[in-house]
Amino acid sequence: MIALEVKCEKCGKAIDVCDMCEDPACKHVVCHDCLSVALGERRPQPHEHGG
Amino acid sequence: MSSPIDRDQLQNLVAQGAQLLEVLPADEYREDHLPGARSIPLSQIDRESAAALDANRAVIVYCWDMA
Amino acid sequence: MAPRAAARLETLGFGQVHEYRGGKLDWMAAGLPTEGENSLHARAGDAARKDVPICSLTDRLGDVRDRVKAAGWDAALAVDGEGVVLGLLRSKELAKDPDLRIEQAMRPGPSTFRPYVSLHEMAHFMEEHDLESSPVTTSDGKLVGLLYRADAVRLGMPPK
Repeated sequence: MIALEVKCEKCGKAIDVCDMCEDPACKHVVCHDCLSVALGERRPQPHEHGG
Repeated sequence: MSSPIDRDQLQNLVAQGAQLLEVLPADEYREDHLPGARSIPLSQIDRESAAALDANRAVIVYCWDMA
Repeated sequence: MAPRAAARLETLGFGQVHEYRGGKLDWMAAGLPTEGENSLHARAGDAARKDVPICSLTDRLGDVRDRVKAAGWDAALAVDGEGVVLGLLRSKELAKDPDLRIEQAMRPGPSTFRPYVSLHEMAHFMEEHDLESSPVTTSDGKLVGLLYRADAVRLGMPPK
């Protein structure tokens, strides 16, 4: 099986698979960092107040 | 010298009367803060603002994460 | 920033100062309650179904499937002895050879979401990615529940 590289729809970073659905055919690929920020799981970096 | 604590220690200290202080910007405090916490953003901590706290009781400061 | 705040308080005469290093993120990721404007909005942990069937890695798939169906579910989560999520079994995985062990049949290391995540955002992403369900766990991986898209949409999105 050939590993296909996909790109995050939001930041363009190349990743193995969509972090939300892990579907190789996902049409809205999102990377872990962008998904974490979108869901409020962490703050965008650099964070304005540094911690 | 202040001491680092974890979540369990925080809960024990609060049960014993410790005060919680969030030092993030006020808008982040408005969105979410630990139950009972007060807000004094880091840049505004001075003698006047700290007078809202009881210097004879333990104070636990926190921000968003460990950064 | 907490160490700097603690140091500043000490200069102001506070003798017992502690730093909660994990901060608000650690607190919320553990599913603990907060106060503030956001606490009025529904979160993933509120809507996640806490009674989702669980199983262990060495269980036989056929036995788990029978138990899951009898309880009226179409999914189960494989967890360790501490309740840490190791794998997910949706209908597709549950339909595999009944003699497989769970660890051979499950979807390992599924994406998980923290309990404080906005239900509105979760509903949006689950719809966009056509996900029927997603596990909700604490930051140390312990199961909170299984969030169904239908619940996320119903509770997290205002009616149009």
